Amino acid sequence: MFAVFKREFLSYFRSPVGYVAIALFSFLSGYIFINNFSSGSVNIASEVISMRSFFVVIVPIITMGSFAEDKKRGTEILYYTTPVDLFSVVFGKFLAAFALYMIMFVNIIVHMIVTKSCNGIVGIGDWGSIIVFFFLAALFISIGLLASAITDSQIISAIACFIIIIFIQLISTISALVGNTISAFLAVIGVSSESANSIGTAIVNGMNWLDPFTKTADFRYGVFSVSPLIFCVSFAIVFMFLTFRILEKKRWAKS
Amino acid sequence: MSSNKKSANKSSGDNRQKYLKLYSVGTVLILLVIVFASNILFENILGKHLTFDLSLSNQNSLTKESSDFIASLPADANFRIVGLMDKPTSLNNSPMRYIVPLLDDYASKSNGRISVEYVNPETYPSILRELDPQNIYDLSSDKFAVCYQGRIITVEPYDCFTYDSSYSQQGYMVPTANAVEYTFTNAIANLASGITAKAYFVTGLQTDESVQLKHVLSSLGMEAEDLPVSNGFAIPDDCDLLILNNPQTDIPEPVEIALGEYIDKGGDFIVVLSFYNNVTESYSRLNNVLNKMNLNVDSYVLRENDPHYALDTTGFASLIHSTDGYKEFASTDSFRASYARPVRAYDNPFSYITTEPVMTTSSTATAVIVDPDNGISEFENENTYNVVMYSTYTGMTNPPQCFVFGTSDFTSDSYLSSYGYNDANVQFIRNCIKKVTGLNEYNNVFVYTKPLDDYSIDSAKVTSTNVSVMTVVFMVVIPLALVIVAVIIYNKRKNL
Repeated sequence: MFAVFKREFLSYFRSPVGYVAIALFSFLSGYIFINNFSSGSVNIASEVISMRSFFVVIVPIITMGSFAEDKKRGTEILYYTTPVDLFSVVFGKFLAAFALYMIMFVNIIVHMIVTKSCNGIVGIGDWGSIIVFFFLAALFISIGLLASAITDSQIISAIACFIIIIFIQLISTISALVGNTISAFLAVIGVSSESANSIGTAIVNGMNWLDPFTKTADFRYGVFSVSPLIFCVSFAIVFMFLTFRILEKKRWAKS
Repeated sequence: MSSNKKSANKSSGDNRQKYLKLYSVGTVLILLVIVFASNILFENILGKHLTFDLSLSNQNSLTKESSDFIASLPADANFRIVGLMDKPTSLNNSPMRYIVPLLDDYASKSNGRISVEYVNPETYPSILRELDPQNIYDLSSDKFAVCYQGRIITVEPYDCFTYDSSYSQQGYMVPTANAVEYTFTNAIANLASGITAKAYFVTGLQTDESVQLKHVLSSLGMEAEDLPVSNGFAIPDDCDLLILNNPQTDIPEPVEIALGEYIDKGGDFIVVLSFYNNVTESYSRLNNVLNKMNLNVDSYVLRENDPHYALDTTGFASLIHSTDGYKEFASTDSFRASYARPVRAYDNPFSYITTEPVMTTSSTATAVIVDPDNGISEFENENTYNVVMYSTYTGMTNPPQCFVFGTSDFTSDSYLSSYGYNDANVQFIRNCIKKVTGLNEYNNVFVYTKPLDDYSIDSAKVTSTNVSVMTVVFMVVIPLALVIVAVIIYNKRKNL
C-alpha cells in the first residue's frame, strides 16, 4: 500500500495536476481570507467551512487520473498481476489524494498565522471545522476515486465526479423541489393538504439526511458533533469499497 | 475438446460469473445496510451526547444556571418549544444561527422535559389550533411558541438580542449581546411558575419608548401594555404594576386623580424621572401623587464631587450605591447614574407610611439648581442624596408599594441597549420589579446574556497596503508561481 501511496503521491508532482490543484486552492482560500481580512473580522472556521463549496472543482482535478490514467496507459494490468491486495491499491491512491489535500491546507495554516499575528482569534472551534473539513475531503476523494474507476477517460471521470459532488451540494435544494412536487401531486389526487405536506416533509428530511453539507454546516458556529464525522467516514468506506468491487470485477473478468 | 466438454466449461464459467456478481452486489448491499443502520443508530443514541460547543462564548450550549433550573423541573414536565417555521437550514448571517443550536441543547439536556420542533403554520395550519384552541395568543409565522399546560409565551427571534440604540437611530440594528438563553429560560421559568402579571406603561407624556424595559418585564413573565394619557384616563383592574418611565412633562389632572385612587386600592408602581432635557419641569402634580407615599422628587440635578464616584469631569455622571437592605439586588452595590434628580422623604405626617432610601450618592454630592435663562447655577450644601427611594404602607393587607428613581439609567432604552441585560442596573431594576409585584417568590432564575462572538482583528493592521500585499501574495504570487511550475513540468514531461 505504501508503494502505491508513494507512487501516486509523487505522480501529482511529476505532472501539472498537483500544482494546479494547490494553485486553485490557494487562490480560492486567499480570496475568502482577504475578503474577511479587509472587513476587519476573520473567522477561520467560517473560511474553512466555506471552502467546502470548492470540493466540486478541486476533487475532480485531483482524482480524475487516479484509475483512468492507468487504464488509458494500460498499466492497470499491474494491479491484477502483482500480488497486491486491490483494496490496498484503492486505499493507497486515496491516501495520496488525501495527502495532497493536506498540503493544500498549508494555505489555511498561513491564514491562521496571519490572523493570530493581527491579534485575531484562532479558537478551538476553528480546529473543529478543520477536522470536519478533512473528513469531508475524505468522502469526496472516495467519490472521485469511484468516478475514476468507472471509465478510462480522465475527462469523463472528472465530469462524473463533478456531477456527483454538485448533486450532493444541491441535495437540500433538490429535496425541497421533490418534496414540494410530491406534496402538490398528492394534494391533486385528493390526499388531504396536511397529509400531503407530511409526506413531502418526510421525503425532504430523508433526502437531507444524506446531505453532508447540511450535516456539517453548524461547525462554522463552533458546534462540534461526532455524527457527521462518522457519516463521512462510513460513506467514504462505502465508495472505496465500490471502487474496490469495480476493480475486483475487472480482475475476474480479465482472468 | 468435445462439444459436450466445451458446453460444460462454459456453463461452469457462467455460474461462476453469476456467483461473483451476486457476491459483489450482496457485499455492497450488506455494507450499505450496515452503514445506514450504524449512522442512524449512532445519530439517535450517541449523537446528542457527542456534540460539543466549541464556540468562543459558549453560544450554542446552556449555562449552568439554565441547566440547573431545567434539572429542577419535575421529571414529568413537558415543555414544548415550537418554532412556527420550517427548520432553518441556512443559518449563516441569520439570528437563527444563535437560536437553533441552543434550542437543540435545551432538548438534549432536559431529559425529555423540553421538546423542540419546527412546524410551519402555512404548511400545517392545524398547529395553531392545536397549540391555541381558543385563539388567545398571537401566534404567527416565524415566532417561537413556548407551551406548557395550555399556556403559551411567544418569542420573536428579533427579541432574543440586545441592540445598540445609537446605531438603530441611524437605521442600523447592531446586535450587542445574545439573549437567546436568557429569553427562553425565563419563558420556561415563568410558565413553570404559573403566575401571570401585567404591567402598564403610562404614555403620552413624551415618555421613553421602553422597548428594552418591556423585554426585561417579558423575561419576568409580565405582559406589558401602553396606557395612553387621556381625559378619561383610568387604570385597568388587571394592572399589577404601573410604570411612568421618564415623562418629560408633568402628568395631567385625570392621571393625578387616577393614580391617587390606584394608591388607595393598594396599587404598585414605579416612577422614573431624570433631569436630562427637562430642566424646568418640577412635576408638581406627580409630586402630589408621590407625596401620598411620602416621597418627593426635587427640581435639581445631582453633581458628584467625590472623584471616586464621579464618572466624568462635570460630575453629572457618577456612581451611586445601594443601601444595606438592597445589597442583594445585584452582584455589585455600585451603579451608574447620570443627570439624576434627588428623591427625598416628604413631610407627610402619617406614620403608616414607610419610606427607605435605596440608592444614595457619596456624602459630598451637591444638588445644582439650573437657571436655563441666564445659565446661573447655584449649589446646595454637600450632602448624601437619595437617587432611588422605596415607599409602602404598613399595617394593612395589600399595601401600595413604589420605587421612585431620580435617574433614567435603570430603564431607558439607550442605557439598556448600550450596557445589555447583564448590567448591574438591569439586575437591580429586575429585582425592584420582582419585589413590588411579588414575583420574587416564583422566578429566581437569572441567566446572563452572552457576548456575541467577536472575530475582529487589530484594526490598525487592516490597512489598504496590507490588504493589497496580501491580495498579491495569496491570490497572485503563490498561485501564479505554482501554475508556472505546472507549465514547466508539463513541457518537460509531455513527450515522456
